[in-house]
Amino acid sequence: MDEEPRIGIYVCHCGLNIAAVVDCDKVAKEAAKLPNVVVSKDNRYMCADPGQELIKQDIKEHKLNRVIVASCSPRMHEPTFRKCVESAGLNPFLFEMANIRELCSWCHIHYPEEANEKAFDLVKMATAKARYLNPLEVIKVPVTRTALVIGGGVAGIHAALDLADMGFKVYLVERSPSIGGKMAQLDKTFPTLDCSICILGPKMVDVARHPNIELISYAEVKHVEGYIGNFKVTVVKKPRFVIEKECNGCGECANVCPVEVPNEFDENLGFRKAIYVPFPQAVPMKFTIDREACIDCYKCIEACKEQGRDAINFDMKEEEIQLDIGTIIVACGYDLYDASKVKAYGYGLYDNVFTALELERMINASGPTQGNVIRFSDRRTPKSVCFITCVGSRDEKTNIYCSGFCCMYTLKNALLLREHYPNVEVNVLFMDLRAPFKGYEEFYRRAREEGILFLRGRPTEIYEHPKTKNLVISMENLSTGEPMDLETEMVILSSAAVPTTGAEKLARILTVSRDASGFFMEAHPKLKPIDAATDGIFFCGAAQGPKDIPYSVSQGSAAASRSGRIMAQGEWEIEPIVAFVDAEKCRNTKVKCGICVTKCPYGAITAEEGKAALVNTAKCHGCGTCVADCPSNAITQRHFTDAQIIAQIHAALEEKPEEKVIGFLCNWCSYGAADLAGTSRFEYPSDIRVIRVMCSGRIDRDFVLEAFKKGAGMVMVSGCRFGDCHYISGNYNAEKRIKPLFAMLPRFGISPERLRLEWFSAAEATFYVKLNKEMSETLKKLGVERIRAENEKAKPFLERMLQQSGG
Amino acid sequence: MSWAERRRGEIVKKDEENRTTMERKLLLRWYELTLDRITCLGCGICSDNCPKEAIKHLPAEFRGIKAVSRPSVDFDPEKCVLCGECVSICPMDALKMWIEQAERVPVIEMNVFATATRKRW
Repeated sequence: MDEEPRIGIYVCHCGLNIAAVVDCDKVAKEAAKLPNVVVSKDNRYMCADPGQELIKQDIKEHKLNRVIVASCSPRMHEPTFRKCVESAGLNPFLFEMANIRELCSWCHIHYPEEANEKAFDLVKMATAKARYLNPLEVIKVPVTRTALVIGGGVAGIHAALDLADMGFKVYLVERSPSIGGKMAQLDKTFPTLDCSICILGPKMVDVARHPNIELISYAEVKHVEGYIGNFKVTVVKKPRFVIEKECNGCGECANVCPVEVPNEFDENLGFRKAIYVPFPQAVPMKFTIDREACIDCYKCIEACKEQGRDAINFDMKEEEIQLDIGTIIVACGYDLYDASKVKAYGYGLYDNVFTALELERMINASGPTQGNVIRFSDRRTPKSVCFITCVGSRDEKTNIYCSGFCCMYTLKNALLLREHYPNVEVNVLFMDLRAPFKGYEEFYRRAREEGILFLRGRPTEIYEHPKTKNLVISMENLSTGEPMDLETEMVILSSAAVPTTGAEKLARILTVSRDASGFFMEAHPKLKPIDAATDGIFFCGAAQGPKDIPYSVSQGSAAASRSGRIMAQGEWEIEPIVAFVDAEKCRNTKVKCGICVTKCPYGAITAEEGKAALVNTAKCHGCGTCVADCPSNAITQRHFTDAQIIAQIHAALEEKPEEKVIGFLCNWCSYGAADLAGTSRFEYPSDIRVIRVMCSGRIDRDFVLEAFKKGAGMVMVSGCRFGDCHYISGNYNAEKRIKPLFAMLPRFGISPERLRLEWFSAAEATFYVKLNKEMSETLKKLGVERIRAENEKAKPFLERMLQQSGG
Repeated sequence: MSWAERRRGEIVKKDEENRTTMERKLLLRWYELTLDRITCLGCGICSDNCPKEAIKHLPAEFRGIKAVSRPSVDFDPEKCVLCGECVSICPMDALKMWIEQAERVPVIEMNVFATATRKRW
């Protein structure tokens, strides 16, 4: 854009969120003195209608061609303001945001002076970048009207059914031989005590029958590439050794099979044959041969032939299926915490200690005991049963989080026991009893009225009586404060929900992140609870955190509507922050180069011999790794150009540079952690001036050198943890590029501790705070004088290096 | 028995002086496979014919020309599926199998001879 920039600055009070710490009026008045600034105002709520109206009016009145809003995180309201300036006729990419809430007012509450200084710097940096902003056109990509649902539990089933009813084609991939998930294993559901499989079964049949749903059971997602609307998914179908089309589920094969192994569906309390369906209501109703158990006697082939069929094929191989997918819904569910890890409770060692899911199978009429609850040691119905809650949750030794639904299922199991055996004494040992949703508290009341005894306290140890095999629980009764021993004939452990096995692998395949406890992490905890940070991927059910059935079902439907919203439009807008190659500068025209081709994680760049490299815009995700690694500076990333970032560095270091830290943060993890530190109101030193880039791969070595040349006290380069990069390999490339500086800087006279290279996830706000405190310590330890002297000494070297690299 | 080793439905191997027992306890179904080490000659037929390769044949050990141990067999509880093939084939009747305390051999009950079909393929 050739015309002279005319910048409008708007400093938001955000009620008192910013104004209580930062003097917004003063910041606005000072900002007015910056070059090219035409108007500079403060306002109570910029995101509200009057605030937006103000921007629109000023654009018309003052002919503004750049707009800066200093308020919250761009991860929060950037889209809002982009829409606002667009409606006033300005290109949305001529808008820039200064984050003075999460990065400033919220984390320096008790230091208003420093906060003011920082807020002004952040505005100044945004202004500097704004001068170099260019108008960009959004890119539209076509969207395939097909969805993939991973996981066929109750959440996945509902997501698939809703999408199919909307008219979209759905592929439902399930890892086990049958859909149904954990809910299929349950006997009854709380708080109404409906039979679980009776309400789930019809839904499972609907899935099998729906013309728009293609069920791929006994299969796993192996590979995902592409982007929103255009995912290419590889699904691996494991061999059942039974031809699905031929099998009619008669079960003659299982009748003749000689091998009996424990049935996982019955929590290994009952048995199944080596050729099996996990449970009678399985969907699809097709048999599977467990080759681990099969002894290759081929009796099943004979039995099948006697029925006039030929469904069994021992030569079946793994099969790869390629799918074109528009949106992906992850509903991979949870696993139960392995209770044997809590050694004090003796699960696995004592015969009569069971888990809740085992009780659930026992009490189920189609379970291994036909509905009888019996002890392992003498097959007798116990006279007294004790439930223990919070096994593997709410404990620093296991998992810190509350698993949510365990209290309720414990109440349900206790009530069911009472219903089956009115004379059994039932005790529930609990820490806190949580029953917050509709009808749950009433259910708790009902349990108490039924005569179930609730004792508050966490058992310290369980002993087994060697003769009677009864169990003695020693605990502190928290209501009386007295230690007590409780003898009981059976113990039921209410295990917590933990991320399912394979969640880690799936997260890597989809390049989405997981939170500190290992569940999938949503894009925003409140406003985008279903969305992944990657566009076009959604979570539902217990994949995202422990959930009960109603919550999982509503999330399944929510995920369906979120993905339906994308597919219904038929095309999707992609941010044009992609890379492009300046053909004149590209080295590949003269010598064989192709570095960018090897660096691109998406294979978006091609470089034919003798021709300039070319970026495929639709494939480019805009990480900027190629930009930073181009030896001839021929590649530019739109909206994150070298000129813009260097202008930000200069603006940040205009005053007192020795006391400042220039922090390069990647948008997804490090910036997320910085935002979280703000929303959590963690206080840390205000030295850092944050420059946001999409990926740590974008951070050029020149940026670091430029910052030191301008006198920066410290520089921090940060990104996602290895394996978590949103652009697959950006952080690896960043490390390769930045690490040699640690050896190089001391030769110029710069102490190596003044450069930090750190990797942390968006959940690690505490780490970010710790890091800032450490860096502040380092600055203090070295002192302004020493830093200034080091920088003076290094300046000629840095200048020469920057000249050589053309920076 | 260590903590982690005992899982529901897992086969537990017990070595006594003259007897090795493989035991699987499900809630209402207890399986037991025993090897009488006095009767067993260590011929290794069971090892050759085990469809899951769960039996290892241990030949006699010699010091010079003097045998210091008899040939014997050893079971791998991880691989065994308690099909009873070894019981059905043991020439010395040293192997026995019980399901719920009744002497039963699944492969004989189902009229199966896995060795024959397996070799054919």
